[in-house]
Amino acid sequence: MKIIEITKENAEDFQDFLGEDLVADMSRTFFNGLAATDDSGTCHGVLVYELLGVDSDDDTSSRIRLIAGDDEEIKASLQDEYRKAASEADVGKSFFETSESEVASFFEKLGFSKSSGESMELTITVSELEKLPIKRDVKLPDYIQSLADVSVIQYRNFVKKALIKGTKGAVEDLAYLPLSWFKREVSSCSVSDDKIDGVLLIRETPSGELHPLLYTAYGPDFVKNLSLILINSVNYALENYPPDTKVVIYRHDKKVLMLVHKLLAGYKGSEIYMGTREE
Amino acid sequence: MDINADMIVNIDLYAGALLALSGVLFMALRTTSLKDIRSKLLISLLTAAIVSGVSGLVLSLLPAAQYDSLGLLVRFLDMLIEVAINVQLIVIFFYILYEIFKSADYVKRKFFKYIIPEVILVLLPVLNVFTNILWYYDENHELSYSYLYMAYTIFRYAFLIAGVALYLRFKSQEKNARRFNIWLLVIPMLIGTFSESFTGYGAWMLFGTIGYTNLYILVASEMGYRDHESGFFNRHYLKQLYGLVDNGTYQLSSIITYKLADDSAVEKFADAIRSVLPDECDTIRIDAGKFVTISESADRGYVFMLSEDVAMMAEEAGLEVTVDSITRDKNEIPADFFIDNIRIKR
Repeated sequence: MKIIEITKENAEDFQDFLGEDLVADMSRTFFNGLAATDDSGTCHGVLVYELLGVDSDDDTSSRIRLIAGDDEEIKASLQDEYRKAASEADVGKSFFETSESEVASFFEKLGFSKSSGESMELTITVSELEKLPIKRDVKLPDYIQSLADVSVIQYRNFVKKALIKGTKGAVEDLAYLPLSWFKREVSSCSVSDDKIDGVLLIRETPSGELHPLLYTAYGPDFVKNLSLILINSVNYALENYPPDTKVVIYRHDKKVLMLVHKLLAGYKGSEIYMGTREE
Repeated sequence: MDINADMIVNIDLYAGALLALSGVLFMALRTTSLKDIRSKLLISLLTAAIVSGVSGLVLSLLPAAQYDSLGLLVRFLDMLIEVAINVQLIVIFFYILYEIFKSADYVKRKFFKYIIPEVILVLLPVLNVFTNILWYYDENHELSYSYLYMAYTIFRYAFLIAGVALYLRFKSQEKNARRFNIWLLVIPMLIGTFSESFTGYGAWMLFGTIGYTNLYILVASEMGYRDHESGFFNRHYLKQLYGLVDNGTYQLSSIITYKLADDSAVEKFADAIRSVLPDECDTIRIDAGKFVTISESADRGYVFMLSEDVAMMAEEAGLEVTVDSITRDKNEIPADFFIDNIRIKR
């Protein structure tokens, strides 16, 4: 059994383990993967992790997105290789989230802490967007637009501004993703003097899920613009997506947590196991 | 020539007119781009100052005895002064809005919110020509003011104070407001207002014009930090910047350097990359064909994007440029980072 690196070039070879969404994610700058293959090239296990804090002065950490294998020995081998890679990348801390108790126990044996709680991910359906406490019938001003109506330069200028201000949303590699990574029609923005000053960036994954990833605005009217941008995207989603389309919100920080609590009061993430390990 | 009380009262009008005229001359000689909305606003401001100053001057030269036969002309000139003062207030208010938010769209969107006060400010003096509801000449040909005029005056200054309040609210949120100093304008106007209110002598125009000239000098001094070829900051600014870095005001964290292969293509290069430079960063020409973009952000993603964008825009313009970048380590002192990485020829 040998451990090889999963890259964007060979990711499709491991689709059975990764799933179509993670295959697409393997082309992202901070996503890394390891696969355990036998001499015939058959895959027996994978480990995918995402590096966080690489581009800033924060300590680098690693979120293990997936570990899967035919048996415990294979998963342990993958973990050993992961530790080497994490060391080379100066990872200070690794963490995981899983709904499976066995996976959590496996991590615990490798030195991770283990606890249970509510997932940072909250999944709702498009039909539930109707329940958001927003005035969907308000007449939207011309300066609230779909991302499909803005240019790449306008988008990149906004991203630079957001990065300077330290805002990345749930997109660690925001600087390296092209505009086409996001679903432009359902994503919305506010434009002032030909410059974007507020966005709601939404990705439509290959499996058809909607992932809102960045929601922020600047300028004197930022509060009003945030509402209008949200209304624009919600209306588009309700009109163009099947009601059972999943919308996955990653509540990566306190601000997002509070906002989601305000907009979707009573909704909770699923119960999961989580843990961390110092590297 | 005997100096009498009337002439002393009117000295401020003469001075106001002279200052206003000299301000316009400065503007005419030094304004390089009328496309700049700030220039347009300042020109409107100074034009209004001229109208009020010159009208006041003409009025002060008219002998008191002739007020009777030239009553309509006098009242018309009085109206012009009032309208000009009001235009100045309106322009100042929108200048404040624009300078604070740097968005012409924002000012346009909020325009109707303020149009009613503007209508009141500008039309009431016109209405006064026919109705005398604000001021009038009594039987002794002396100017008298109604109580409505006092309310109207308070309203005018409330309008200006609202602008100052907006500025203060913004300054508490955005530290980059350092370059716009509203007090250079407001303090002279406040002095003029109080002196006029307590002494009865007209000082508003004199001090108002001092304020506008201060504002212009501020703008002109900023232009002195600009490189005329590229429009970016120049080496004088760099020296000032070092002071800010050294005293901790500016936390220099990243430097992107562009070196042109052809030094003569400076203007073309500047025009090519201007649209991709963030407002939050300063770009400085430090040598014939060498520029740096500096920022307080050490985010390597932003540095990567900007480097890519500049290289791409230069390539589209057919220019050869070398782009290098460096971010400060969090333990490195900003002043040392500045000295080590921004090298200028003496």
